[in-house]
Amino acid sequence: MRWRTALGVVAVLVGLAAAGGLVDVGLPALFVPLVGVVAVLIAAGAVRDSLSADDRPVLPEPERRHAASVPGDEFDTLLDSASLHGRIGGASDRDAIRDRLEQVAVDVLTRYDGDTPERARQRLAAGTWTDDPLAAAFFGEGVDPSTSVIDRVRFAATSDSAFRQQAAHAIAELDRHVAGGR
Amino acid sequence: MSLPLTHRNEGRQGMVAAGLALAGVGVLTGRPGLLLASTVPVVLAAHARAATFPSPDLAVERAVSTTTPDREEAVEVTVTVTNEGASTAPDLRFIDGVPTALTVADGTPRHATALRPGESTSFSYAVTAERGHHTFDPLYVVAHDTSGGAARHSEVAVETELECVPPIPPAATLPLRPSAAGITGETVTPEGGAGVAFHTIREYRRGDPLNRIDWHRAARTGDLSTVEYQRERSATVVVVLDAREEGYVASDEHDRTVLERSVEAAGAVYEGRRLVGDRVGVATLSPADCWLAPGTGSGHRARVRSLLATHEALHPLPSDDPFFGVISLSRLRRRLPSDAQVVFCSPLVDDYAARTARRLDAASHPVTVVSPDPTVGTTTGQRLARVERSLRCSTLREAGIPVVDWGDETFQSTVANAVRRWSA
Amino acid sequence: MVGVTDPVVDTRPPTGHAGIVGGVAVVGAVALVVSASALSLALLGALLLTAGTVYGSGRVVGLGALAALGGVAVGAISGVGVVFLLVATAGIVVAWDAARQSLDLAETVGREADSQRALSTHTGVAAGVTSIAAGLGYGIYLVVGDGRPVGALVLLLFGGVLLAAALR
Repeated sequence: MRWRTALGVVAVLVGLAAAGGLVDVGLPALFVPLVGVVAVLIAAGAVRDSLSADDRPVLPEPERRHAASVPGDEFDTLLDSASLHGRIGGASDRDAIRDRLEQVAVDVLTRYDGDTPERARQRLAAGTWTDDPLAAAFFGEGVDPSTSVIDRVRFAATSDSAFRQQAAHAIAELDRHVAGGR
Repeated sequence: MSLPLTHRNEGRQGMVAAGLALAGVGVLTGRPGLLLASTVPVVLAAHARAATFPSPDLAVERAVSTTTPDREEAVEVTVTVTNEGASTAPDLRFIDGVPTALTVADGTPRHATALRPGESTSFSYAVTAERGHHTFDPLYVVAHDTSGGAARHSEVAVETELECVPPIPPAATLPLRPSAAGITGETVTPEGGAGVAFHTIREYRRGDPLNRIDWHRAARTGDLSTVEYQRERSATVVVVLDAREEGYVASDEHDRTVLERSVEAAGAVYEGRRLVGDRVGVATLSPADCWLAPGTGSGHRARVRSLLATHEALHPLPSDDPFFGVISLSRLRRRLPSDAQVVFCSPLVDDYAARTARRLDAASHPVTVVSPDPTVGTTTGQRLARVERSLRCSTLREAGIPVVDWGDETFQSTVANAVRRWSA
Repeated sequence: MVGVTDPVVDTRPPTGHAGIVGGVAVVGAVALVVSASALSLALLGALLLTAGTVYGSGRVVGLGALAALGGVAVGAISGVGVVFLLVATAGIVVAWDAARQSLDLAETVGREADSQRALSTHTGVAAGVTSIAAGLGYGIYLVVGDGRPVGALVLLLFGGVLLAAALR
């Protein structure tokens, strides 16, 4: 940057001297358009540079309201990320969610249906604790969720998954159990 | 980022490019006029480039329409800035430091202007008052030079405070647990009663108050007799608020937090127990320490009111400080008088809350839980949170700890309904 | 405490700002009246500068400046006089600067805040600086005139370009 300024100053001074007839610089007229081309090129480079964002200081935002945490939103995020196709660690995340929900389900069935914990586990495994086939399939290994063709296509095409759908149904079913016993 | 800081605004850089482009076209097409015109944008850019950072000397005043607003009252805030320097400040931008827990209801806390020496400007906006003690942050000032090329960001501190102390809510007559010591408290005393029970009737003695003479008997027999009441021994109650981060959840991220309902419940329970003559104290489970020993009298009541409104531990927004559960609980247990019952106000959104209730109960401080319900059940996770909270409520009830589950009704009628259910 | 979420303040400039920008830009464009193509290009640029200010779009403002200065170049090629070229360039550049400043102000204080005076002061100063620059330039132009050696011209141009580039 500095050498350009220095060179510029020298060029201008010599140019002024030449214009005043003090010195004689024998530059051909061919150089005039050359300078024009250089100017246009520098201009283009400047436009390109200015497209990158500058680092302005972060200003306070007194209008921004504190966002409170909503009970359960954390689980939604967890479920979302565990349901993504091909995510590393997705399988163990899904296992963790399944374990947590099974514990909740056992608690719900023992407390609201009067089951013993063993009986509750049996009913969950057999899928007989609910009429909802998707909810039943979440805990039951051998339970056929009978996923519709449309759902299969949807699961393949979007980040939605059978796991997520069944988890949502299982939780909704537990919620209904609890609401009935409240 | 520490203030003040300086910043160069590169906004006029494009003008150099425009100038060079005009010059280039002028040279290539042989138009000297264009060459001349090209100097104009370059000069403007040079002006910005040569800019020096301004350092305005400003005097700032902030006036509020009231420093002790009611809850939800709109408070008008007027900020006046005077240029006390010797030179004109050509570009001043202000962002006022609205307290974090308050929201801007009307207008904007921002303003921009130019100020000649000695000149003043003022702008105003309104905030909605919330429970608590609120301190305004400094006024944030961005000063630019005339070209806009050099900016200084700084803050001017102005002390302004708002204090919103809501009245103690109407009493909710929450009954206490029967306690091992046989102290009364299970009796539901009518509101405003002085906690007295019929004892004996004896012969009238001179000086007995008229309202204690049994007039029915006097009419029947002609003898004056005086009713003796047994003073109920007052119970000791400590209302404990869950003001950990988990006590600050909300049904929607832009709603008031459930702590506001915990505070309301605490106030109503306090008032109810005070009216039946109990000694009532207040404590919190929170990063900041908060303890008001059980007491009686109007001075104590004023302290409770002010504590519930403005104590740091019950600030409307959660603190960033860490909470040490074990330490806090053992400190609370040390402070609780041995005969104290506990009314625990908590949304019960995590296991620590439920565990705490059981620990205190097991430590021979009979616990009653008052739980404002923050769960809504819109999403799957929220439904799970609702299921888990219901399980916590029923686990507590199974352990013999009454839980007042406070939904959409008023707290007073929720308590009344709960009492009716318990006594049925 | 809070992450990066949607802005809480409307950062489009207040409506009054577009008036200043549009007014100055039109003054500049009208100076190109002798060339129809230059005038229409410059007016299009003025329109874009104004629209960019209304919607708070720096990109549209940039396009507007490009179109309007393109109008100046077209005007020069089609023979608009030097004085008019200078007036047009000054008007357009000041309008461009005002539009930029308007966006910058709105970015800081938002649409709702009163920032008219800050903008008019800034624009006034820019107009002053521009007028002095254009006047001085025109004076030198008159003095230097034609008939100077080509070598001097090349050196002056080269030096000027280097100095301008160093401004970046």
